[in-house]
Amino acid sequence: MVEGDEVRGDRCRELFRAAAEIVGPGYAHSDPTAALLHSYDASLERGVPDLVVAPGDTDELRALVVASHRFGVPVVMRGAGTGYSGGAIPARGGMVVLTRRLTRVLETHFESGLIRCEPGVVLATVHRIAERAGWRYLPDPSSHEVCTIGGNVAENAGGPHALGGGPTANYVTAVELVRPDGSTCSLHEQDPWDGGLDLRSLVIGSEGTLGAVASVTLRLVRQAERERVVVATFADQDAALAVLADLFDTGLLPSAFDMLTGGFVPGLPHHTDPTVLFAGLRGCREEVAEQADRLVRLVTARGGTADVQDVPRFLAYRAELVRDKVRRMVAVSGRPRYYLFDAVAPRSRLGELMAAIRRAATEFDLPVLNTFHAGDGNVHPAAFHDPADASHEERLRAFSERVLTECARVGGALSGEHGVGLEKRALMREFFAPPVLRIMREVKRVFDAPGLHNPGKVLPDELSDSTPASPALPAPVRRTGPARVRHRDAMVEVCDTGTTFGEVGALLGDGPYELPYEPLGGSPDLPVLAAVNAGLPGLREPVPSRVRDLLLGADLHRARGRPALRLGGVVAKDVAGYELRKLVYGGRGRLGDLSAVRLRLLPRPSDTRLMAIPSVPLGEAVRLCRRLYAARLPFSYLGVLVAGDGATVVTGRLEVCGGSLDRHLATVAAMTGPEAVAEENVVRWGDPVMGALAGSVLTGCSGLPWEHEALLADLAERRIAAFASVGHRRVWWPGETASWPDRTGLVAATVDVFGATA
Amino acid sequence: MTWVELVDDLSRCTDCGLCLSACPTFVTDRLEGESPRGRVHLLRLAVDGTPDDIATAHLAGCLECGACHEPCPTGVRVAVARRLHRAGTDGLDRPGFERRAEDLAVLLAEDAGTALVVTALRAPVAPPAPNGRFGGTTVVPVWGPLLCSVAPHLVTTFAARLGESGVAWDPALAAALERAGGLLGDGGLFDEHDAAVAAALELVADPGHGEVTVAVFDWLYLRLRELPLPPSVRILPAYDVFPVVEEVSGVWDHPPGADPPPTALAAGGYLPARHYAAGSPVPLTAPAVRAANRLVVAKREWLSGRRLVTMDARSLVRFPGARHVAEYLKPALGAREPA
Repeated sequence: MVEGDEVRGDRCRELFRAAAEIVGPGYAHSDPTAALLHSYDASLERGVPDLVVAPGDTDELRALVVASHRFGVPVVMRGAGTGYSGGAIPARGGMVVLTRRLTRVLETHFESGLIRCEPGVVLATVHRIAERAGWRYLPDPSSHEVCTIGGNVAENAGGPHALGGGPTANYVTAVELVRPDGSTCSLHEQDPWDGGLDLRSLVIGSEGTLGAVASVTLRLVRQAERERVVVATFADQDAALAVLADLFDTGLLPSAFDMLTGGFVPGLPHHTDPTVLFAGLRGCREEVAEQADRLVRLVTARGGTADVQDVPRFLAYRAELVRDKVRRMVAVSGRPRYYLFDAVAPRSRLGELMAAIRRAATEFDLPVLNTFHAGDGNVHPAAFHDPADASHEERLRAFSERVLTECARVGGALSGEHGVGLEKRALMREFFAPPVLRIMREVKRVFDAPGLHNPGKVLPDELSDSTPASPALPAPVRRTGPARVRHRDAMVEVCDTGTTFGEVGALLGDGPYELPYEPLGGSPDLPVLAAVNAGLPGLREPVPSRVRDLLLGADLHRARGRPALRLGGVVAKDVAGYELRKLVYGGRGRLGDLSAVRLRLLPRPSDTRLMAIPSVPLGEAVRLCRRLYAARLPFSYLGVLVAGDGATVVTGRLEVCGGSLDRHLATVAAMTGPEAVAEENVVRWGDPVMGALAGSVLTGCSGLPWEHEALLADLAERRIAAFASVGHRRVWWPGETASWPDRTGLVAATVDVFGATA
Repeated sequence: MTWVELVDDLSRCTDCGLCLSACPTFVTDRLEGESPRGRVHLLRLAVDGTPDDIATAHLAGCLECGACHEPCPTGVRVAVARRLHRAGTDGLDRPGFERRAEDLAVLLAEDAGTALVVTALRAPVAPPAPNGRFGGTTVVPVWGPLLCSVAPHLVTTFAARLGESGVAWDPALAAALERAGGLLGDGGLFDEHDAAVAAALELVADPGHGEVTVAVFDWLYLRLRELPLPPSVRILPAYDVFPVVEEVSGVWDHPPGADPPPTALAAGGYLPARHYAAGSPVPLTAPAVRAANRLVVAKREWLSGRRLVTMDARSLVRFPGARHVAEYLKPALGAREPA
């Protein structure tokens, strides 16, 4: 039954009265001007709210959520409104909740690089707070001066540095979610290790459709010793793309790798301007020097010119260049405005996508400029148009649909950082099979049964069971045979339950890439799928990604004839829909039989050394570990190991991608004595931590080594081997994982959605 | 150009929001209506009808400082649009101006800088200014009535020293440019402003002037660059015409879009963006005066203990201890060829 406007209006009026009571009359508005001012974002989409409110704290936010459920009125969170997909637009009216007063930084823990804040904190504020304390928060969407953390979490925002460090999801350790009854629950990245599921990953990128986020905990990374940008200019776009291919074929992963194409104007084939590449390099002096050198050589070999710039100079140059290009496009094409969207192709097929963009631009008569994250295959075609032309919107939509359909054909993703929102929801079917979409819809019901949180977003309209999958979609895999490696995409697909880490290592040989995953307690004989399914932590975490972040895709086979699921794909940047793929990490068979995973590979370090300082009294070991951590050395892991005989070892591994570790080894030697560091040795499986925990199922408890001295002393006394890991912020020891308390029931309900269990 | 024609210009806005963080009125409370993007929507709305009181208040809150112009990828100029909108909808006669000033008395009392503008507008005839010739170029110093009012000694001393270096006087051109500099429009006296612009253009068109370099001593008068002046007339900040005689350390008032100052002046660093109301005009509407007052208070707190070097006469009365850049310039013609 369709509800009459009158009834709906009554409910909105009642909600408005309740909301004004909650936030105070100055912070609740239902006038036409307020409605107009919150009806848009940076996309073409529009949606008018019935009321706009600005809560002043979490309690008010919770009360507003309760009120929205009480009156059955949609609730849509809004930060700065700079999204590109209509995520913050009230598609079905209702209440827009502004986060502009939820701007408190609730906690900082600068020793280990954590910030907990409310959703309205501006990203630039986080950048500045981190920088002042010697840290860096890497996600850097172009709207960073004004966009909010809440918006970043909702859309799983990226930016240039998502190439080296991943999108927002990689940096969010926990989210506090407001439930429909006004209670809050914390979803933590360590939940899978404690027997839960990584529901955190579902909420990040869910565009506010699973509930209102009350606070977010962010993980920072160390400020790099050096940062430089190689700016390369090419007369020809194809030469620039060839450099991209060279780069990844040889295992060079810059922190950021963006491209600004020359403007393409249909009908003006002679309008050419240069294509410019920006490669951001960050790391130790040696790494940046060697990587810059390699890059400059690659650029020169392809006929480009290269210039190595410091960051402030680069930022000024880029801003001027982009402005200049846009203004030139306006002048040349006579189209004063542009529309921009995002789409992703696997790196190996970026050239095909770029050609398709030009074909579509010609067909729809749209001049195009593309300033995009080339390293991630994440294009941002900006189509220039004249808003006075009545057909412009239709042509823009047809153009973006054509380009996105091509992305589906080449195995890319619907969105790399902008989200699906309103703009792309109809195209979800091109990227996800009906059974996967049904799971997403059921997940939505688990979190938000009445469908009041940002309705009309992300998911396409309901499908019938007989709707066929788009022919472009690959089927889920289950087969025997060796793993497959795609070097240019820096990806390995493992689809045999018997394939071991040793076999993957042998397959990768001495090539430029490695799988940065040596499960604690595991060995080279351990099957990869078993480790992922069990949610085993990697020895080297989080450098630069946690194991869950290596998961590009996963296939699940389910019982009782339910269709198999292909979750995720093959690209690192994929924020479309709910991030179901990460649930398989620590899924423990609850979601289905894990039959395949596609994992991200990372460049092999140029130098790697084990550090082990044996027989240090526990108290001293913990203090030494803390000092080493504070010394900002390039450790890929570091911690305090309690061996089975009760002896304590401070141990870790130093690794760099470019140049040698000599300088850092001297620093370590000065702090610990010369015998601490082993000769170069790339076989991490033999490290003392791996030996001490080999063959064990692990349990653990959260916290840094120096927060758990008493626990470590107890374990040492009981002769139980344990590893207090700085990177995991957790102490590990052999033991069964405790049963997950599931206080909210969300884990059980999510498991039910997959229907793998009885 | 009328503001309705300018709405075409506004249609270039893509709603990307990159302007938001540059806008001094947005960053205070992060209200969309107090942002350039929000005002673009409200100005479009105003084309088809009359904005309600809330929309009107948001529009009136624009300081017209133009800080949003620089970050805009497509070149939308909200400050210009709002100024023209104000001229089209809000034009005032002189008694209207007086009434408005009375209504704002309380707010004006809080900010000596804005009050200074009102005082100047009550006597909008500028004092005569000296012109000088060197290197085949006429140099016209434009002091601005605000500086003449706040630091008359500085102006007369500088002018006298200029006179000593041998100049031919032509006060009419300086006075005409000063009247056309936008202050009348800031106060809502748009008809008088339009007449002043026409008079200045007519005077400038006199071929007898040859090359003219206008040396501006008040940021407000850099707006002369917006007039359709012939290429023979250049508008330069005074420090680009007269040499800096000593190293200056302090915080340099530097509004967006202004030319970069000489290194000697910038030694103390720039103000952060949130203080960019410096150099902006202050339309005499209550929301704008309130916004300006808030920015002045914030800037005063931020400045405590720092010395401000300014080319904004209003800053001399707003911020105790502020020094005008003219104090550090050598009033000698021919000492430095204009760049």
